[in-house]
Amino acid sequence: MLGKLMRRLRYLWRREERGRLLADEVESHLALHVEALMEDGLSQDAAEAAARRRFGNATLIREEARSVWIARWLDELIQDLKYALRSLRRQPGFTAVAIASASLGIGGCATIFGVANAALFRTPPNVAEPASLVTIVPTEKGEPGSAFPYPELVEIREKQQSLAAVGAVFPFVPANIGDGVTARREWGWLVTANYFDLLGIRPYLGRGFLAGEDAPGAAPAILLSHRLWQDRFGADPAVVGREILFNGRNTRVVGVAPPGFHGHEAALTADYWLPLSMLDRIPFPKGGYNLLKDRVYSWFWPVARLRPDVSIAQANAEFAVIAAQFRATDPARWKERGFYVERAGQLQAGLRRIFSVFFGALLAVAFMVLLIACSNVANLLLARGASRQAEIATRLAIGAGRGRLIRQLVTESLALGLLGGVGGLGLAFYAGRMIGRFRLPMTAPIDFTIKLDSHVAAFAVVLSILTGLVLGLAPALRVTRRDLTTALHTRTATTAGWRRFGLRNELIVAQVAVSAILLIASTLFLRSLTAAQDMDLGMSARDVLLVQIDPPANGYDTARTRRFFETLATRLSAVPGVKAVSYTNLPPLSFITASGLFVTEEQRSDPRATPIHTQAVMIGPRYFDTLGIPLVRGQDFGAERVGGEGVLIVNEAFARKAFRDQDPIGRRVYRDGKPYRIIGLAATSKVRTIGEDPEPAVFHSFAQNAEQEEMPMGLTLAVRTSGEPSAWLPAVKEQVTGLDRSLPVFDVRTMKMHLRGALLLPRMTALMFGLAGGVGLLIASIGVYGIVSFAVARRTREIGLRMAIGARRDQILRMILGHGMGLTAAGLTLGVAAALPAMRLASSLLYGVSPFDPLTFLAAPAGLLLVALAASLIPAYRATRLDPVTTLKHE
Amino acid sequence: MAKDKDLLAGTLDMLVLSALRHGRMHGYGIARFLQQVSDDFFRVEEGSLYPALQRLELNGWIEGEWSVTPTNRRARFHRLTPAGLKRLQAETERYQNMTLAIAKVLGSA
Repeated sequence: MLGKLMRRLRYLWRREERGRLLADEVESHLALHVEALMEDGLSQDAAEAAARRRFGNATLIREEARSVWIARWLDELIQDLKYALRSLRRQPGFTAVAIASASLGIGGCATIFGVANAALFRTPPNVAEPASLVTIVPTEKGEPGSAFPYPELVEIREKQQSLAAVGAVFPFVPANIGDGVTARREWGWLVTANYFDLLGIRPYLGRGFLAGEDAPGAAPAILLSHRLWQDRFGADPAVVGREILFNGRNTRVVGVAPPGFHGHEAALTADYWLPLSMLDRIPFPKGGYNLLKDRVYSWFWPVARLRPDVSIAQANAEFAVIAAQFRATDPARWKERGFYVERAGQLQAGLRRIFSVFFGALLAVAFMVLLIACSNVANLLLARGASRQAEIATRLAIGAGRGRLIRQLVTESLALGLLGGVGGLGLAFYAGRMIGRFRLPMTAPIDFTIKLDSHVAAFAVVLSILTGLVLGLAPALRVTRRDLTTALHTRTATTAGWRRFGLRNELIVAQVAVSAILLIASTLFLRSLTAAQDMDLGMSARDVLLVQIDPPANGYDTARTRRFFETLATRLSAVPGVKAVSYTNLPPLSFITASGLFVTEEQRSDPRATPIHTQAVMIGPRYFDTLGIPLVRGQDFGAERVGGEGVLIVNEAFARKAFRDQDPIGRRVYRDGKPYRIIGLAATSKVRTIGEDPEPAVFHSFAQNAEQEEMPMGLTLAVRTSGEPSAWLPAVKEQVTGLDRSLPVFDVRTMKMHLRGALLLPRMTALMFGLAGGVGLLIASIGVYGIVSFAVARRTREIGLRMAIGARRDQILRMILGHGMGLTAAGLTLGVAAALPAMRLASSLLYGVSPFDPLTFLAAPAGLLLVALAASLIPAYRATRLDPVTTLKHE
Repeated sequence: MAKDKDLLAGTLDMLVLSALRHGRMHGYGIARFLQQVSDDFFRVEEGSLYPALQRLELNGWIEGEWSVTPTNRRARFHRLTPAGLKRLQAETERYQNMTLAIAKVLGSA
């Protein structure tokens, strides 16, 4: 059996050799027959004739014999493919352009599909029987949410019959994980004790959580991810059963999760799991409530396992009844709420809707791009078809089947489509890697990995086949449709000019217009990005190191935290090269804001006065020295007493808003009724965003005010150095570890990197529009090139005639160029006209550059014009090289 | 030819194999041999013979090589392989069983 297959493949591989062999054999058969007949006394001629007559149609017999091992259609397909590849190879320019267009279109679609696929439909890895793993989705006024208060989940669990097990997780726990020598910041989840059993996850080492291990008062326990165990604990099996430092306190490692398991939620990751009993060990703001008993915050995301004989629909029928019961017994709480069951592992139901719309829209745009790219390539194919019409007409005339010819032409475009698909998948793969490498400018348990799975590959294959069919079918039908006489005689006899291209012309105009808008936008955003990078921040960003340290997580109270930072600052100041050290709960230009409402003495007596809403952060002494913000007047913190009179430093923008031109020093302002005396005035620097207008800001003393703020991400230590700041990181780490080895230093960045994070939005916009502009330019130029080539091909005869009756080459050149440039000019006019109001809308995203920046509005269209000129010059030049005699004789 | 095909479907392969039992032969030789041995009963059409030869070769039951005839003409000679011999024996047995069975049925009628 195998031998037969191997032989068949060998024959296929050497089809031509096998064919020749067969032909030779048939020839020799005839010769032998002739010989035998001549022995019987026939003349050579008579013998040959008789043998041939007896033998029949030799070609047919050969074909039939061949079809034993090679099906006719396969044979023809291979022939067509070879023909297609040969003809593509003959025109490398055309082929490259066509494949590039198809790749871009397919790649764009596949990337977006891949991202959506990864975000929306990820099956949780390692989970047993993912089909019966479900989640309970809460609804409020019909809108899906994600989490429940824990007691409600318990209530639901006890009422229902459809689920074999119900668990819950809280997936956002940052913590300081220490091994006694150093410590590191990691993110993990709080889970119910049944979590691993429910998922069917067997720990790689040790055990999962025991029933009751999540009850209050249980011994502290932690289960590590495989990655954390390898990176942090050197893959030492002895770690299991030992105690490590979780937020500074001893916690027993009960097990290690299997490799690759990072929790069951799509797009989120976990590096350790804690039983719910550890809730009081995490310093997350809880507002003084017991989250396992009080129904205040919806913290817990459910995960559950269906009973084997119950479907999701049956479970939902039951859940609808339970929700109705809840509404009847406790209308105050449940009046507008409900819940239902759906498969787990998908993106959260609420987010999913937004994402689906978003990706749907993106995919629609990508499809449009693909369609436009296809139509351009179709133009090119038509141009080629037109110049090949004579060849095809001749082949039709000598009896080639129309079906066979169409098949041949479509095979060619299918080959183009598939090659484009390969390129597109490559692009999507690359783009997926780039997206996967994206990191938020802070540590967060979000997983951006995009896997190109078989769905994406299948999507790309289907898309490339469709592309091939769309590309090829229209030109193929068109080229072969014309009846023979017309095709042979009047094939290019028209001189009706450019209007004949009707819709196709308008499409090109639209392409040029859109790409003009995109180019203008991307140039503007690029200029805005450069402007933003050069903007005066009101501080000196050079040579500042920022790191996060989170003593409150380890149970430090305010006084101890303050002592810690003061000792740290004193020790670090002694390190050579360190110029100043300070700390704050929130450095400027962060993603988070912290604000407060302040009223002045006069406003207090005026009930109609609006308080000043402003950024209010806490800082340690020497903050302004460290960040390079001038302290204009008054004094720095350092002398104030804890519990004594409240003092403040304000910036000039705040002073102007609160006191106009009067001196703010010594005045009082009130926050939540508490008085503060202003002791210092700082120059105004950027507070929240780089693009903001001068923004009021207030600085509290950390020593006096720390109790008021929750600090889930810890505090930021700022160090001004006398050189590249990262060189002082080891010193910082050493000093921190020297003070407390269970405190990690995390989110390390220089002020410059921190600012890059603040520029994330302008950078992303510039990047997106830059990409879109580049793709638009490419597509529009291919479009112009395609239509001008097509026109030249269609008007070959006319051009020949014109030249024959005396037109000069430069006149022909001008005529052809006129077409391309006319379309481009029309598109540019439209594009610029549309860009003006569009950019006005985008002005809030622009920094330091006018939305009508004249340089941009000149340079971008000029660039586009040049590219279009080049694109039409190639076919135009080709037109002038036409030999009038050949073109006219060419019928 | 159509008649031949119906009649010889399956049988032709067996006949070719059994012809080659007498030694290597070229295509024309096989056709002549079958015609002579069967006293002109089988007039093998080339249109059936060459597909059959391709089929047998593809199955690995015969193999061919170019050689020279006694009259000094180039021809492709086919030879039975061990697998082909086994196949021939199996086919012969099956054929004998079948003719025996047919004979019994006809005789009992």
